[in-house]
Amino acid sequence: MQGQLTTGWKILEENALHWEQWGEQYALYDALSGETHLLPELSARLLQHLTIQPNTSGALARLLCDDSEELCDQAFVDNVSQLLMQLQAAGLAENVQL
Amino acid sequence: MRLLAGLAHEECRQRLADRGILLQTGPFIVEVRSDLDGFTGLLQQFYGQFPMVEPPAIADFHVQLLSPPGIRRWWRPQVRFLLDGQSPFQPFQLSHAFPLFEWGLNWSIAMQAQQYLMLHSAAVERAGKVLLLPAWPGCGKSTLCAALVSRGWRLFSDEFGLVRADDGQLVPMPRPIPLKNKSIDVIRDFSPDMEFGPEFHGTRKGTVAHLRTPDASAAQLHIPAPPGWLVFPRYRAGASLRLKPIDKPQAFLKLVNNSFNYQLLGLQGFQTVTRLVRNCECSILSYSDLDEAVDTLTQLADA
Amino acid sequence: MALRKPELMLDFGPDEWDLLLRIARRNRLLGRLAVVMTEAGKASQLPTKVQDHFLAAQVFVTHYQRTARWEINRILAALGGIDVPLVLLKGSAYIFAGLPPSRGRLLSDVDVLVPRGVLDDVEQKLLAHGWESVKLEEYDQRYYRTWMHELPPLRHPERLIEVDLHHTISPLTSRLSPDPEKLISDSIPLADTRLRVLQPVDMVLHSAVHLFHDGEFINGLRDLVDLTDLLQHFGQQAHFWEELVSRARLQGLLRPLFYTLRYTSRYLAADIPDSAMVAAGDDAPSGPVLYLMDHLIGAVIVPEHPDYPRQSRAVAHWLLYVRSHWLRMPPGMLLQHLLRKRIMSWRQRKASARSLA
Repeated sequence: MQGQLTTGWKILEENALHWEQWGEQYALYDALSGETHLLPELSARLLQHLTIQPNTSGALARLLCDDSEELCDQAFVDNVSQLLMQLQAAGLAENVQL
Repeated sequence: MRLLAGLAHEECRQRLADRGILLQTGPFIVEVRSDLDGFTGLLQQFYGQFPMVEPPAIADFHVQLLSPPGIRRWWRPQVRFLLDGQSPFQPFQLSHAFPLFEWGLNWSIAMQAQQYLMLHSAAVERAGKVLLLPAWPGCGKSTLCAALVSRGWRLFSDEFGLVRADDGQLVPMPRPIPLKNKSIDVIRDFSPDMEFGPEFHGTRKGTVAHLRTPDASAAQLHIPAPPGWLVFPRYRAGASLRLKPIDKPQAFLKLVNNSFNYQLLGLQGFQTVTRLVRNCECSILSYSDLDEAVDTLTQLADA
Repeated sequence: MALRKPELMLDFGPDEWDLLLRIARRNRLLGRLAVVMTEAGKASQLPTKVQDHFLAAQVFVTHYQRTARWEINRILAALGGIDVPLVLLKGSAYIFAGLPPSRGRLLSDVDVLVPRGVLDDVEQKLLAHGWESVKLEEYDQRYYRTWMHELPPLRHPERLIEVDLHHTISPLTSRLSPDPEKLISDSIPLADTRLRVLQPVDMVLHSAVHLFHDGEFINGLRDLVDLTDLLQHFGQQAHFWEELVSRARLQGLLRPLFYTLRYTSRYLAADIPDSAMVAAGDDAPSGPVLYLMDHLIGAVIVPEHPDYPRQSRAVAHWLLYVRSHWLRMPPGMLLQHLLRKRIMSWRQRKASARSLA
């Protein structure tokens, strides 16, 4: 019988991310890549949740919903998946076996 | 410390040709050597009020302005700029020796002075705080800088905002202010008592002339100051004056793109810029009338 | 040498510091000087200006090392599926393995050795993930692929660092052909087991080949310092010297080893056991050649005063450059290659002069 493999997401390294917040906008310096990013609120909170611990896309969407009283519909969940892909492209998160 | 103006012309010329002269320009000591006859006069005109450092000393930059070997010494004569014995660019025509010196020294600073966060920005001080005017094409920062300086603001630099990482203070580096083309006449009209050097025609930027650093600015070149205002100037012919606050994320982004060495500095660059943005009032200044612009900024500082 | 005895530098006057800083910077050793002083606990006793220059140098070092590490990170991410031993070479190896030459080191590219069989796959994967081939001029492409021991460099447009993929450590056409399979099979994994470095004796030999056969000696002094570091570091391991010599013999690299031992001990006071010196001497060059090499190497290794460059040094550089190409290419090709290179660089200079006018 095959075991279930869960794919999920994590940040690349602890302590690599440095934040500065102004209201709903966040500046982020990634010490691993040397890149600086300006992130809107949702992406920033997504990344901050990942910093606490690795997680699946679905679970992250639920956490974000809870934070924000957003409607937790499929569109939202898909949006979160997209954001995770963008974070991966920016070298801020990676897709792994959990 | 003796000022350069204290040297007789002939002694200056000889020293330049021989072991060189060590000039204090803000935080940097520049060793200058040259075999060009015409250069001595201009150096004394523009740096006369700056201190000379007596050797032995550690110089930050070793700069030479020399005639090239061979035929270009006489035929369509040229001048070479050397930093530390090496020529990083193509020679200029001989008559443009002084602009080459200024431009080459700026280049050398940008390449090497990584102990500072270097903003591509004019910096002037009033009421104990520094106004930063970050550059972008067509912003008129040098003209605005010259105008402010002529009205009593202390010149830190028309080109470099040198920010210390440890305390976020700006460090002055007053030097001659280069003005181009129309700006030369604009400032001549605006402030007839300011001393201009010769006009250099046919440079890559058109006609260039330099404003002598005010004596008071030169005398205080060793006094740093904290930043107070970040104003992005925008010159538009016929525009009415408007000083519009911008939000911090915007200011941050503009400043990151504006700085010479943000990428190189890594985390320290990030921290220095965020601290700068945190501590400054940030705005965009749209203007067409120089008087109005100067008044507005002066009121901003005196408030 | 200031690098050997940091305490001596505390007595330096301003004019000595002035010269030392310039020479160190020119030879890409300023970062190393800064580290040496910091490790000796002396950095805070230095004149403020010196500390400023050290700070500025360290900015570059930190930046370049971070850039190299990130590039490897991105390469691993891109190669995800392929199970390939990536053997890091030169600067990247020193940094990832935490070896002495990594201290204060500047590096501008990343060198990786992979088995020839997977080279194409690796290149394809990287190209698919956004890397591009640098130096697209057709002649250079052919030169690199057929005759050099690396592909034309790759570079990702979002980052400025070059990636050099090697399948051996000496060009195919050179007289030396160390066996790359052995290099890879004997390589040592790092903490991240996807990455490997050459075993110590191979690392030394590779560095030796790089300097004495490939080398254009631009960073001659720095490269010699690296070799000295490696020899001092690994020299403490049991049997290192015997293995070094026997491996050199096996790979046909006794000549570069001879030069290495000779010049590290001569110029950097490296502590080389007599047995190793003698053994390497088995492939010493003939009298006249050795005399010439001594002279040439002396001219390029010993730093010159920045304001009074010696003409002979420039000539020595040129001769060594020609020699390194002679060793890499069959003679007929050499002339053609050098001639072409001169024409191209002359054209480039004309073009840049025009653009500045």
